[in-house]
Amino acid sequence: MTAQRQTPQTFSTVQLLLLAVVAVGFAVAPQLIVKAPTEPTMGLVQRIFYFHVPCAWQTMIGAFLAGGASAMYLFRGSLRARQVAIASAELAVLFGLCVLLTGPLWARKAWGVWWQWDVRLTTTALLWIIFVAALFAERYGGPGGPRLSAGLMVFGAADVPMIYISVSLWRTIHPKTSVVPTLDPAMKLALWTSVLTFTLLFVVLMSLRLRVLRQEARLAELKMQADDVGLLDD
Amino acid sequence: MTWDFWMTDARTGAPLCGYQTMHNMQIRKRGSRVAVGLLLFFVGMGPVWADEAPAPGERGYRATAPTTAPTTAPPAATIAAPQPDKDGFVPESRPMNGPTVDESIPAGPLLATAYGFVWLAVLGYVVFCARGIRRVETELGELSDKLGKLGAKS
Repeated sequence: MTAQRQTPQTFSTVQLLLLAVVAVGFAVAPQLIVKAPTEPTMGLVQRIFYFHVPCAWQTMIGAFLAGGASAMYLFRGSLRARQVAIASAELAVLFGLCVLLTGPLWARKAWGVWWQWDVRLTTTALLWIIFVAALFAERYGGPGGPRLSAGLMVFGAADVPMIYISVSLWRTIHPKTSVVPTLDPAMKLALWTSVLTFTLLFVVLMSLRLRVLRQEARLAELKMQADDVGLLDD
Repeated sequence: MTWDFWMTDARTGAPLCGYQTMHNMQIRKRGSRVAVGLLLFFVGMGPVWADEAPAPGERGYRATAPTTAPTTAPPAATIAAPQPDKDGFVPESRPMNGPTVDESIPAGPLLATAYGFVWLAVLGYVVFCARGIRRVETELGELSDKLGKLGAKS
């Protein structure tokens, strides 16, 4: 008699708890955003800021993590570092896409155009393209793909400080980072709640993706063992 | 000297003889050097030019605060005009939650699209991860069972 195999659990207990906290955050944040005062110059569209800025933060965190983990993979050959790099890069691409979409929606109203080849916008678009290229290299690059991808991610991470200081170094039309301390207290509360919620979301998504990548590595190892004993022939 | 005939004219499609090919390649090489040089020059000069931009009141000065451009100013009698700072930036003096800009472009759909897209993207990624976990763990379970049975037989 064989033991009944358990149905695989999609989320671990910690992940479920974190997801619940994130759900609460996503329920509270919109209420705070609605209660926050309307910015008189831009009006309603300014409220895109409460999701745009946290997404931009997560993009930068993801890119930095991916760059650091890729450097570790390149110098030490650590498989775990490679998994962290892939998961972080995917999240940088996901949140980067949100930034690149919400930004133009705001700009259409505030600037009158969807896009400007401003330094902040251009460097952010470059970062996104570099990480998309890195993920493609990882998946379709063949045997040298992971190393090429890691190199690209290190290169992409170097773009992060450039994005951050671009508004201070060059004359750009993008609002400066110094605008945050001058916000109305109610606006600050809405912004920091969103930032916290998105950061927790980043942690949950990262742990989920890392679990998939770890299990995929284990599966590949088991498949090799099974192939050795001729189990996969039938 | 080797005569290579593999290159063709871009316009006519006719093969180019060795001399023409080399001549074209030299022009292209020179062109790419000029392009790289120009690129480096513009990148290097960017911050310098940014600092040299004309100050408010100088000839050629253009206001670069577009967020203030589409607004309709309230009557001058109601609010005292704020003074521009050294960069020419005029701070917003209207009260929060007061009268806002004329909504020539409706903001509602833009805002809804932005929030909707972020939620959809995140939800899509959660579904992608959850499906990945289920698929991999199911495969892992099946393979472990097979390997376990094989181990028990031997």
